[in-house]
Amino acid sequence: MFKRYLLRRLLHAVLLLAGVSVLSFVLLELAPGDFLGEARINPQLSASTIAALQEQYGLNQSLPHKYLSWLGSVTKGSFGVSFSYNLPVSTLLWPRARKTLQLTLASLFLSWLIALPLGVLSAGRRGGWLDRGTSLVTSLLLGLPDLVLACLVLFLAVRTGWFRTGHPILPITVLVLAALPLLVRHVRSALLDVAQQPHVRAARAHGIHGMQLWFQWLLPAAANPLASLFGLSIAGLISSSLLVETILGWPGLGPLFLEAIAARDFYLVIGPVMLSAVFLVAGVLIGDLLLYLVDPRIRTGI
Amino acid sequence: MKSLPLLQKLAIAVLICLHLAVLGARFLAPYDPTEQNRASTLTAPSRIFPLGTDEFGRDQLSRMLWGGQISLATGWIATLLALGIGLTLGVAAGFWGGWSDALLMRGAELFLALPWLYLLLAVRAFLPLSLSPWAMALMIAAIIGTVGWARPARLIRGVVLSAKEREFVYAARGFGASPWRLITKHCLPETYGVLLTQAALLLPQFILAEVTLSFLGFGVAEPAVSWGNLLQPLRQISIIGGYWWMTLPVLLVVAVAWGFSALEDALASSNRANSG
Amino acid sequence: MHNDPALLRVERLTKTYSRRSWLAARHPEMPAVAGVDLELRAKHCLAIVGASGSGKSTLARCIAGLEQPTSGRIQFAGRELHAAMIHRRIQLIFQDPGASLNPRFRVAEALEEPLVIHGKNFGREETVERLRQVGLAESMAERLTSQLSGGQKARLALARALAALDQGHPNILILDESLASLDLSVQAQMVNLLLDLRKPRQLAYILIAHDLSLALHWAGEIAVMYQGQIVERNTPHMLLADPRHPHTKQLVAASLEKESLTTEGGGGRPGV
Repeated sequence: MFKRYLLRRLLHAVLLLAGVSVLSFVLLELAPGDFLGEARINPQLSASTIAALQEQYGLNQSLPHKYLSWLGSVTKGSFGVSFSYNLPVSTLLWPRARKTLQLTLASLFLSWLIALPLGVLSAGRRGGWLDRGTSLVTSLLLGLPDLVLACLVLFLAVRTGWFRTGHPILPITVLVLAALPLLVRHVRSALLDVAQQPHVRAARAHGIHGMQLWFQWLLPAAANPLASLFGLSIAGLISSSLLVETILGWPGLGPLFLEAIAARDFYLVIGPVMLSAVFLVAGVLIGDLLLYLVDPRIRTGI
Repeated sequence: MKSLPLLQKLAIAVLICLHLAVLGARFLAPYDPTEQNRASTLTAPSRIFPLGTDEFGRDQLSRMLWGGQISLATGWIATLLALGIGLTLGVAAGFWGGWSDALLMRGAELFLALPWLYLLLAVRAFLPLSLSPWAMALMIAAIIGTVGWARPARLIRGVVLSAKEREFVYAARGFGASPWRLITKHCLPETYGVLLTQAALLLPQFILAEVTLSFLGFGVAEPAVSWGNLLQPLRQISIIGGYWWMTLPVLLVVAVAWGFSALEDALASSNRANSG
Repeated sequence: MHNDPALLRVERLTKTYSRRSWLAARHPEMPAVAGVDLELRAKHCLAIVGASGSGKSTLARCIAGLEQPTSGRIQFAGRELHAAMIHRRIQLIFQDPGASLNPRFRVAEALEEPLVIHGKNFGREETVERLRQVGLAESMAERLTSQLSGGQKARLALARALAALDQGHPNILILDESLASLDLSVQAQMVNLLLDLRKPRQLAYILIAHDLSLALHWAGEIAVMYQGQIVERNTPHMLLADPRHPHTKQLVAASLEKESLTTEGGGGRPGV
């Protein structure tokens, strides 16, 4: 049963990623520039040199040709070649991807670690001082975009000198602060919704309360929205990481990507785009799988 | 409107004032935003330069006012584009259903799975550098808008789907109403609420996208001004540590984010009041 | 064949929902309407009575042109009706008349909708007159439809249906359980109104219901529907006296029980 569900979701994810790759290729091809743009206006390079370079980099090929050969390189594990570095894209990507994953996973863990209890306590003592305080802070934080948060943290780090730039605590702090407000709000509202459900109210009317209520009724019922939320929070972290890594000097995918696009290094650009799409889709997939494990209703729906 | 908390009202008021100030940059800005004054680089706020100058001696106040035009305009154009596409596709899918609906849902899923910031940067990088600032801003707005239609489209589809099942639509059909009339007179009015809340959600995101792009150096090229360009110097530690007035443009971004967040809350509570 | 005495003739009407339609969830294999034959003369009243799921609403919608029958024929005054013309001769009033009114519209707007759709208009005077015909005051014209009471909404729905129908010809009005949701006294008023309008507007009525109570009062003929087919057809008097089909017997029994409950309650039946 689980295997069938897993296979279906995997197939769906793969199809989605294939679609994303095609769309990305098309969009990038539509844009008129390419790697040799600068070279062409350089008076020191002759037209024949340019032509030879074009051959070498495969810039003359048609779009389907390029796409298919890229797909071929994906199966071989090289993901195309970087023009600037003259190396397979994968050798450049993996170390950076690891760094980004480290950041993302750490932030994921920390943000849920903080958000769950905060959300639970806020929902549990609705209207209390913790609830109102949390609500105020989340409203404030929600209004601060990632860009601002990153600059703020950088500013503080520089002023106080507590952490040097490049230390992981800086980007993690920003990512967590960026993710927390929505997470806390959603956890809180999911729990409040669940508390209103008929079977939970019936349990309370029967006198069940405290720990038993939480672990046997509330948390299992809230598992559905929370599992979906988990997948979405991964997606959010991936999107934020590009900017945060760049501003705070963390050597992840972000800075590599920006370098690549400045150089118009086509395959090195496609690499991180696809990788972040993979993380995104993987995040939602994990959310769906968690949902399956946690919510029996999903299992019977197959 | 009366029942809004004070902070919310304040945030929305600031947002509106900001827009008005930016619109009136021609009249309010004391200097040309690109005019350099080599003698007074990085001066603190004073009577001559109310908000100080940057490393090229350009007046920050004027740059903030004029820069807002590009940043805000890009956000608004992108939002209108995304909502326009989303409305058209969502209505078509919701009303006619069948394969057009299936196509829309698959397509929306695809676009929602796109890492749009990455894609935005990538496409921008491959655009020719020779475009004029406004042409570039329009292109950026176009890219953001065409990638961001998916969420509004899905929401509108949902609204139209349920609206067309309502009895008064069947009744109108029973009088021989054309699909056009059914859509414009009966389904569209139901979408206005969603459109407004989506606008309040997307506007800050898209404005921020332009700012981020320019901040990273991939927005409008110098010497054109955008809020992102104003924030660029902050990437240098020496600036962020030593010259406090250079961080003022951050307040602009925060004001926009808070203002729209308050607006969204206000819309949400008025929607609740109307349907409750 | 303009001399056909029957205003409406339905022959072997069948409607099956394809498996993909959500409506098929209830009857995945059985057709909703299975080979129904029916006749209705001008200014007569036919009641179609059956339990939920018997297909009576589907039948009504097919006749009114809101659904396409899978097979069979519908003839109006001896001819097949062109889709564009159906709504000018046959109108259907829905189960919840209030829901058939867009709450954002004003009363006058809602009344005029059938005409506006075809590019025409009522004058203010005509609108007021039509409202008066169904018992709505002139002051209602500018109110939002959402502000009307249940009974007023039913009257407005009736006025709209009448506005859509061609004047000067015999027409058909189908009431799809439209009166069931109203208070008894309001129901009675509506029935009176419908009976009053019958001659001047040359209306024939098809009354769709799930029990016999209203049908017994004012229908000239009752057809009992069960699982998509007409299983029995007779005058009210004969139906009560000699029900043949088991389902008819159930309906008769239920209505007699209801009858005795109301009389025992000491209130007597609401007069029509």
